Amino acid sequence: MSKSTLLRVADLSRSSELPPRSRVVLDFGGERFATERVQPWKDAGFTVLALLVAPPTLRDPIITSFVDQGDPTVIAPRERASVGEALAAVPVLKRLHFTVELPLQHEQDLNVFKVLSSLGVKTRVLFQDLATASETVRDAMQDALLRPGRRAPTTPFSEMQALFLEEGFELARLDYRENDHFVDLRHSPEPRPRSAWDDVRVEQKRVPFLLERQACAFCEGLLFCHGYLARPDADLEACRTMLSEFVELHNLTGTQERNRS
Amino acid sequence: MTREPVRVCSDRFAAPPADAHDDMLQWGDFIYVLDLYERSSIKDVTLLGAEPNRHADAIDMVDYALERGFDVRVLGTGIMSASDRDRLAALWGKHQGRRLDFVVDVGAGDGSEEARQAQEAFFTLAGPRVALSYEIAGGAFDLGRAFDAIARFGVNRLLRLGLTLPAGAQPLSALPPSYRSVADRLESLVPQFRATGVTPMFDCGFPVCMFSDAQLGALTKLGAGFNFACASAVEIGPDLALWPSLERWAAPSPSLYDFDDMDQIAEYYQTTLSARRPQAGMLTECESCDIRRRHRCGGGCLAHQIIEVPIEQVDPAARRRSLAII
Repeated sequence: MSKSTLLRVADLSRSSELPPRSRVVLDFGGERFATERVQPWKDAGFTVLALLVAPPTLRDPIITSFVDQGDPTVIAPRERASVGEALAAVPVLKRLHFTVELPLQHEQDLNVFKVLSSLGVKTRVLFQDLATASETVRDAMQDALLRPGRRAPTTPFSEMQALFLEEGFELARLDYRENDHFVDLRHSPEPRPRSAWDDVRVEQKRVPFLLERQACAFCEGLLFCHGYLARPDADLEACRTMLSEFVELHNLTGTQERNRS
Repeated sequence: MTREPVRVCSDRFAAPPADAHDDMLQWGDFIYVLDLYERSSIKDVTLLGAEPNRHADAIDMVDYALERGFDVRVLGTGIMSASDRDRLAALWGKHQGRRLDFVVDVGAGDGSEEARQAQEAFFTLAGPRVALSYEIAGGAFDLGRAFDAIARFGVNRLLRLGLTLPAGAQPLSALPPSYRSVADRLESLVPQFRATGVTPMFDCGFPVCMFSDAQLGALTKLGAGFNFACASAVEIGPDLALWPSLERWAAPSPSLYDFDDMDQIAEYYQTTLSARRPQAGMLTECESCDIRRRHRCGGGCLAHQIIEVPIEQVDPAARRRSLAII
């Protein structure tokens, strides 16, 4: 299967560059939803993987324009939300096809994350924050995995939990940016060679880490991370601790599930 | 929600433990409390001090609890700014079908004109969502302010009454005269209760034997509710420390994190309480009292029946925890 493509929703003219019948993620930026902007992509045979929208705030009326359509929609507010704003937005955000992307840097971010998640709003952690493996991120991970009360799924933790041992699963698949799973045409007007969409053999990716005995080779998360979080400025020790903790929590919750059943 | 004392009956309600370290309830902890309630199938939460002048996130926390499907009761003063009143009032419209009500002590506030006006504005806005509470501390009590507020602002006609008469640590051979004088005073107020349509609700601390049969009959005809049993509420502090709202408890506070659900907490306190309550009630005659045996009376205020015993005796786990720390 070829890679998916990230495009601005208005760039239908670039559809000829894409592999036929491939998957697209359509970016609305700060604009309102309009069926006539998405439907042509579907009519052209593409599968819409997700819509991206970046309203100024969580309470922006742009968001309501995405309510009455069914494509998965990732809402990434440009401004950091307060708990009060998040609470006011919950009735709109509590939709099965909505996911709210949130920063996780400060305590306030964690509060907003927990409030929304516990009120049934699906959330996503910004990958650049995930890579920091900070206390805040780890707290959010524990909350998402242990689910002390009602919690809506959080990307990437819920996928990590569900697909942990699935060969071919890796974190990059969930990050809407140029990587081994996405070709990002949003910021480059130049056409790409068709080979840019060639799929990457995920199973092979961890081999170099192991052969070269890189730091990630000793991390339990290598199975699904494949070094994706090991950015140049990453604290690899903290990252490894976080992913070890994930595996521990995964095993714990798995045992609890088995005991219950 | 704060370490500030909110409960009005300072004589009996224990303050938060001295070693509590968080002054204000944090969001993460609040969410955890509601998680635990949810796991325990408890669908209503009582918040002490959930007012914007005590806790900056109070209204948001009330909003959150309602959004999560809990009914909310706030014990406070009702004193807040006009904008906060409006924010609170907006929650009634936002969460229709959920209960959000308030219990306000009749004597709450610092006595200033500004506080009085703010409270009256709140009563006017909240109307029957507010129930008044009064702690009786002696035979000369005056319910005039409660009758007045109910008549002028349309607040709930159910008036909660508590009793906070000191009784001493040892069982008494006879009921102190102050109890009888409270009963007599209540009897004298029956015409006023009848005229104003106010119904007294005897919440805690009242032993049956303080009333004559005639007094009980007159009060019963008003539709009064009697709770002659006395059960201690377990309070959860801002740092999630637990303690029973009883004076003289003074035992180490376990944390909410030590328990998996509310049933475990109830069991823990039932066990520890029975170890620390050697008598059947506040009077020696409670032991043989037929009314108590029929579970129609708790023998007066529980706060006066607690004795000090070594912590290991009431909570063996406390000793194990202490050894583990060493």
